[in-house]
Amino acid sequence: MFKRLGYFCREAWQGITRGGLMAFVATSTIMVSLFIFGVFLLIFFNLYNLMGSLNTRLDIMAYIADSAGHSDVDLLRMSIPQIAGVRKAEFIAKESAWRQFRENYSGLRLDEFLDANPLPDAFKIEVSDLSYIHVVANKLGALEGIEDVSYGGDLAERMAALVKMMTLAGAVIIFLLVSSTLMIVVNTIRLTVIARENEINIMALVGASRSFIKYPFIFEGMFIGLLGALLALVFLKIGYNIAALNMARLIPFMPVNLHSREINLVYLIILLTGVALGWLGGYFSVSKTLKAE
Amino acid sequence: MIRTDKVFKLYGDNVILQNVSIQIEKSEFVFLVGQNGAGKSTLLKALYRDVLPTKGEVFVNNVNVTRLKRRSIPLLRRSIGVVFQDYKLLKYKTVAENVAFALEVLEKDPKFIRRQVLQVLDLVGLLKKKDEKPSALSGGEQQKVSIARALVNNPQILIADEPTGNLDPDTSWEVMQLLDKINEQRKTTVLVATHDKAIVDSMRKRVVELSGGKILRDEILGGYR
Repeated sequence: MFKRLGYFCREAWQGITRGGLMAFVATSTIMVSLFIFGVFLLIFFNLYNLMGSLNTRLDIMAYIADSAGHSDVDLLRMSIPQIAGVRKAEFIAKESAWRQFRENYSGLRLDEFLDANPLPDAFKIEVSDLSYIHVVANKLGALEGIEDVSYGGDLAERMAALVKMMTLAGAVIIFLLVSSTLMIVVNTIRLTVIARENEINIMALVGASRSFIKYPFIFEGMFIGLLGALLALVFLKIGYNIAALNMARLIPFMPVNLHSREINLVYLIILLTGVALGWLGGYFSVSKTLKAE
Repeated sequence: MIRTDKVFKLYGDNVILQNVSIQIEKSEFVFLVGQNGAGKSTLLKALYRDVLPTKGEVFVNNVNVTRLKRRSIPLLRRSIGVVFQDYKLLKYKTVAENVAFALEVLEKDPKFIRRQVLQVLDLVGLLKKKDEKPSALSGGEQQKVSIARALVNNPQILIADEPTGNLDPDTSWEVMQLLDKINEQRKTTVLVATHDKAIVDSMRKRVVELSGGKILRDEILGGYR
């Protein structure tokens, strides 16, 4: 078995080195496709991640209308804690909110762009249980003096709709990408198979079994797939790290994952897809040629 | 050893073989002669199941080749060595590697392969050129490598399709002498398709002549005519 494996690997490697330009075309095609595939996966993963983190927040922000006076605010201060499900309500003056915001995102240099404080006064409300969040948010919205209500769940729902839409579009794009890559790989390896038709004929004539003829080409496809996937991974890792660092600087409130298990899973999927694409490419191309014999 | 029974082969409306029945015994040396398009190559191909007859049956070592399942064809081919006019050598492999290739694909032991390769290269007189690439050899030498490759697995039958078609008369004679030696020494059944009148006339072996896909004559110690 190992003897066979060694022979297949040796022949496959020879096939790649002899294939030259054709092997290069197949490898680069797989690399580009897997890179795009990887970008999609990383975006999806981060969006899901963001959605998850929003869902776990139990805070509701109730923004007070500019027209509201002191008495209205005092009234709200009393009525909000009365709402069922509210655990804590904290008034946040717009001045302190603005100060805090500037401190948190000092990198944005907001003072250069904004002359006045754009934030309204608000109440930060904590609910005792996530299931109350809709009801509490609705009741808050109905209160006199409250202009707008926002909460993580609402944002998460909107995000979920966006992710769902992107998943559908992504699935179509990935399907087209994977199938066209497979076709290119099949045809590229087929060219190397045609170039080695003489060899295949000789193998068949001296009594080599069909599997023995097939496997070097299947291995060749796998090597090309693996090589394409590894190159895609290198570019993906470099690109993702640069993008993540820039995101952290420009959109600091967006959590970007750099070294989690899920990211490694994305990389593993890329690697396995590359090998699988190569395997299928090699298998289809040599089967086609053997069938024509 | 080899028997064809009323074999027909049609490609569309073209009749390539018509009612071909021959019998070749073990250790025989047979020339298959006839003009281009007479059906010689098709008949040879039917023996190692590169062509499936439209009608009739082909037996090799008592096995009905026409009824072989696809997965059993490799087993049949291991008992037949085939030599072609254009040698069909792999140009990126050395002489020894080309010969060894036939055993490597049968997954034989490396030590056995080495022993067999050296032995068969010695038989064809190319031991000294074992590390040369085919491009460094003459046509005759390349054909001898191809014969060595066909022989390395000790087949019971050796089929040669126009083996001297690309060679000068002297080299052709050398190659035919080699095939004769293999037949004599190893008792290998040899079947040679050829146009070479001089060789057929001087070697005086059994001659089967095909014309328009039919057997025109079958003579022991025949000539080309």
